[in-house]
Amino acid sequence: MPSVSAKPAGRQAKCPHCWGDFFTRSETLYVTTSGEKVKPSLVADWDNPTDGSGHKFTTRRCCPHCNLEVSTRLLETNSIFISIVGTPSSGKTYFLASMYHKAKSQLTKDFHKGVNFPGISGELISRYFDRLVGGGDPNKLVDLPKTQEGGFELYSEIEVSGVTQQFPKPFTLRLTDPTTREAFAIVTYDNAGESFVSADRLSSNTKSIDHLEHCDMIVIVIDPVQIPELAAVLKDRGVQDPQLGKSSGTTQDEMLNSVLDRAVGLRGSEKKLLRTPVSVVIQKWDMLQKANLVPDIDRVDPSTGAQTPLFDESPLNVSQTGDTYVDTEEMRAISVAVRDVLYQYDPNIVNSLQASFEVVRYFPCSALGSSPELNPANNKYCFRPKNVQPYRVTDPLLWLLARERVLMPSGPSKFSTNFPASERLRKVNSSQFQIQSPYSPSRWINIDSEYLGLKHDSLLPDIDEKKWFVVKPRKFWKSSGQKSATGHEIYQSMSAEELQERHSKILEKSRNKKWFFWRRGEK
Amino acid sequence: MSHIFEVIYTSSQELLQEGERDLGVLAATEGTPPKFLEGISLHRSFPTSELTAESKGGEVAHKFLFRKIDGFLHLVQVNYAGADHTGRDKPYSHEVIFDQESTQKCIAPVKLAADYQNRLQWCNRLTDPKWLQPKQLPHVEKTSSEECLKTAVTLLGKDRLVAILDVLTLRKHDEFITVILPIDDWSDSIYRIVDVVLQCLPPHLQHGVMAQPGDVGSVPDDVKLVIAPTDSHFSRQVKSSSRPVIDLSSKNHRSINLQEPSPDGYGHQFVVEERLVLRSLWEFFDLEGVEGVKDSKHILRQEEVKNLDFKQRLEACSTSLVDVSNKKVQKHLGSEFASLLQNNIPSDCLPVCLKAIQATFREPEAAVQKLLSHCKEDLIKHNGPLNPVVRDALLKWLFSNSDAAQVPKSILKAHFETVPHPLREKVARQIAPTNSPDWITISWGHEKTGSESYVKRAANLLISRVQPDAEAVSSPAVRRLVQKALNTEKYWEDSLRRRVVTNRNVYEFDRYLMSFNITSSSQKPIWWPRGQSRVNSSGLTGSTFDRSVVTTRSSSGVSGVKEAILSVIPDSTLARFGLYGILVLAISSAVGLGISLAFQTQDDVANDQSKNSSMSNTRFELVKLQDDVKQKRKTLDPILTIEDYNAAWQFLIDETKQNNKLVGVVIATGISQPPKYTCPSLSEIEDLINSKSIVGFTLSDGKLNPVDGRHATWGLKKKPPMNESNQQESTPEAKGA
Repeated sequence: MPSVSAKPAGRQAKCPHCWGDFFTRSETLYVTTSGEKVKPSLVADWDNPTDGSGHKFTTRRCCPHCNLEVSTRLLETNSIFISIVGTPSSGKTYFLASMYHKAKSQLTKDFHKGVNFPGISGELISRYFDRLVGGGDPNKLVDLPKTQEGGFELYSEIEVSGVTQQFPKPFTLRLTDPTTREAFAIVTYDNAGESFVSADRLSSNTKSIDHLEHCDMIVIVIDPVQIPELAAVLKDRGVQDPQLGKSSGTTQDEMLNSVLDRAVGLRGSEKKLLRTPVSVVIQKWDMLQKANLVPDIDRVDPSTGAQTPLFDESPLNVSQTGDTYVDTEEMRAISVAVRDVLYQYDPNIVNSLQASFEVVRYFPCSALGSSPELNPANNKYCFRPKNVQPYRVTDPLLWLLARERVLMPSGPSKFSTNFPASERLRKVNSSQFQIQSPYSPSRWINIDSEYLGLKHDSLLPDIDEKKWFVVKPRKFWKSSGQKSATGHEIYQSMSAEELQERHSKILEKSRNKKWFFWRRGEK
Repeated sequence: MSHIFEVIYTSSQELLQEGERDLGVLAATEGTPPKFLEGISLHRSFPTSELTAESKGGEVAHKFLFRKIDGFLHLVQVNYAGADHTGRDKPYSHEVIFDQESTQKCIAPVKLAADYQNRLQWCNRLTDPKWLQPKQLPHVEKTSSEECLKTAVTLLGKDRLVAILDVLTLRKHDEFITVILPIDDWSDSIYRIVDVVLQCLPPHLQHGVMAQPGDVGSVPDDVKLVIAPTDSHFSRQVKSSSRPVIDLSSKNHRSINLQEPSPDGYGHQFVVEERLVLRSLWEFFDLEGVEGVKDSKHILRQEEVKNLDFKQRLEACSTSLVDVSNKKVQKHLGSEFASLLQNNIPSDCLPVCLKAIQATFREPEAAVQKLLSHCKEDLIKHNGPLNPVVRDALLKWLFSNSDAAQVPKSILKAHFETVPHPLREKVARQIAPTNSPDWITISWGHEKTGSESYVKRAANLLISRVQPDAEAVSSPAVRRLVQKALNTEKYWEDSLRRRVVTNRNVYEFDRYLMSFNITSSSQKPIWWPRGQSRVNSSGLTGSTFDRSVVTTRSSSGVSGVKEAILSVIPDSTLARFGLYGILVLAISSAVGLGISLAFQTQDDVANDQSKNSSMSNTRFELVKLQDDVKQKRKTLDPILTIEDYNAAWQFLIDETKQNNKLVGVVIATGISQPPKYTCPSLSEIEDLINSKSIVGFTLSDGKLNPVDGRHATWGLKKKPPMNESNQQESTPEAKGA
């Protein structure tokens, strides 16, 4: 007699297509050999599961909300969703393809993780990778096609109660730790820039950028060429790039505000958007480097005396135990420097982001590492695989993975000796601070709470002075009782002795306090 | 007025909407609804998988779509137009949208669409934003079915055409046919194929085609015919799968995975059987999908039997009428059926006719009555078993006309199980009216009807009728009825009814309930009087209580329990609570031993000795306690557990406080052991004893001694100092245990 048993609920998962939540075992649809999608509740016998007509189950599974196929391995994996946002031709597709290409090698070689692209992502990503390498010919002119607003290659069409809706196809990278066997997935989407420019005007049936409602991080791709002031400076400084000088329609800050409108609309309130971390990727960084617009400042290892430029090639470092870690200290320092550059030419972007999000990091990036060539045959911008040298293209991803503790972040700073520490700090709002440079009392640098929420000292650059200073962790700061002219509370840093004294007081106070957790029988 | 809209979507430095650039609408017909201009549609994009860095505009095969989206037919052609102003790929999409009215007006949308082919070529040259002028609907001649078929068979061959027509009409989920065409003649080949295939279909099904070079990605669910060029990624992929493919790229046309067509399918009937009327039928009745195939089969069958005899026509029409799903077809067959019903119906055709009437008529009763009125007498007198459909209809009709009264009740009862469910209650009420004096009959009626109103009537019986006889008492059905009647709360909410009961002698009513083994308060209705204040004292004098009926039962071996208790409890109290199941807890905490005692009447013993009703009374109480406390059943054990003891105490106190009613008699001995139990506070116990709500005893030398509340030594604080020998002496039951 067939055993009738209810299917256990399983874990809760989020569909990478429609972002609907469901339980992996009790709600996932099972695809039969006839192609039918069967609800688990309709299966009478789980020892020999079939649909009503006797067709057996395949290994394929579908989301109960959108009926689209979801990789079985992905169902058992924790996923984080990343929205990549940018204006048309800002380089989102190149960034996405290059990031995944580089991340695959970094995660496998440096972090010893297993990487795969499950489901339809494999096909989508391999197409991009094939294009990037140009079929093995390093001299061949290649390009990635412009991402369109529709098309069955990148979008899925779903009919919901008679209305056709379009969802973007996910690009999923799944990494597994061979030692712990834990898995983690990163899901991104490749949208046309036009969708973001008109984000606030998109119809409700167009779900192409609705991942903004569910994403765990927003990556904003900024094209320096589309900032008119910066483009003019680049041109003046002799940077040769065919894209320079082309006029741009919608400015990037307009696009950003349009996206923010949509995101707030989708999430319901600004507060719900506030906690989403944001990575601002300044594309085509190689052009800025060529134009000497990058404020470089070396870091000196006190133990070896070795000097490494802040904007070196990789955010990875190796600890004394031989483990590779993500140098988040370097990323924080770089973020401050890059933000300064961007603020100089388009302050509205920086201010808008600071007003809308708690944590914003700025990353320099060049997806290709070189300027494109104009193909005379068809007037298209192309590049040659031999010139492709991606620069820090994985930084946002590594930062997020380190933040989620999937990868190891940097521990105590090995560079923080022999530098003066900042002594004053003012609190701008619940998550934003301004720290005073020890070299110039009038210079206040914006930082967020994550800069202080560390256990150890970390280094920050004073870009104007081209010098480093130390930022003490949160426990070293005490309120000075003063307020700035703008009404912000001012904090004073404490010395180690003061901190020790403070700790002793707290300890003494706690000893004098009567505690109620003595063991039974003890006095 | 019908509308045809054109939209051109491409990437440009200037677009139709001022201030917009890059991808967007470049040109559109004046008056185009905004939703066609704003929305981002999937079909406006060009497949990029076949593009290379060297691809030039106009050199790549275009994409073609013919779909019906949100009720509008869309004809879309997307060309690759080279590089745009940003130096990247530029799609050039020309979309023609036919609204529903124009689709209905034009005889064949595909012919209309073909007319736009030339215009598509012209539009490719448009580069500046522009509002287009509305275009007149071209005049399109209808092509005859015969002509369509001939052309299509010549081009594709019978089997392939059948397969394509089947998949386009059935519209099953995730099923499509791929036709592979040579790339050399891509544009013309597509139109040629689409033109001949779609024209074989009724106009409303002339959509669901996609022709695309390169990778198709996921095929939309409404696309049933995919056309791909030779050696494209998709054609290679689909050839290696199990999907049906028709390869027209070489001279020898090849079919892969084409399955044998269904003989009922549109394709087979139109192409192989050459039922050319099919196209018009599908068009006339708006048939679609699997249901359409089924319905069209019935219509054709109807045409076939037109010249046959009446019986065959009637049978065919009735069968079809039940089976069809399309409303137009149903209406058509319905009128045919109605005309057939005007004649005398042979009795062997009755079942199928009745089914048809019940399935399709809005008010079938009248039609059934009319149909049965001719043959009612014959059917009633019919000796053999009737067809269930006819029998059901007949019974329903009979009962609706009160004719059932003519049928003897014994016969109705014997055939009760055959009565249709909706009618059962009515029949049951006729067989077993609630004013019947027979308890067994009423309980049968209750079982069969299961209706609330019936139980309410039965509840009245419970109050006013005669005592049940032995047969009724032993009948489980009667007991269920009584239990159900007691729990019909809404009925008892009526205070008048409650007064009827409470004004009667409660004792008598209690005895009445005892007949049905209903003795515990949990079984009795919630409104049942539980306190002195709610009891009419006139019926509760001691004279109504006979002490001799009380016996006690003890598992402890203590003698004289009954006498001791009765000597203490006044008559009035016994009269009030005598047979309510007094719980006696004798507690000797020295060994944790409890003695359960219960009163029982002689009637109990006489009626149900085997079940040991007195013990079961006690069990009721304890089970209730345990349910309250632990939510689980537990059989009564002579040795009370700590939980039982605590729960019993709590119960006694709660019940006494809430209802002001004696529920228990507590017998206690000196407590010598260290505290294991959660005893109530001394003041609480003293209060209870002083108020005479609980009667206390102490047990010494095997005898019960009543405790005066004023001098009680309950609880732990006032326990007398005891040594080990004293303890053993004072707890003789412990020895026994």
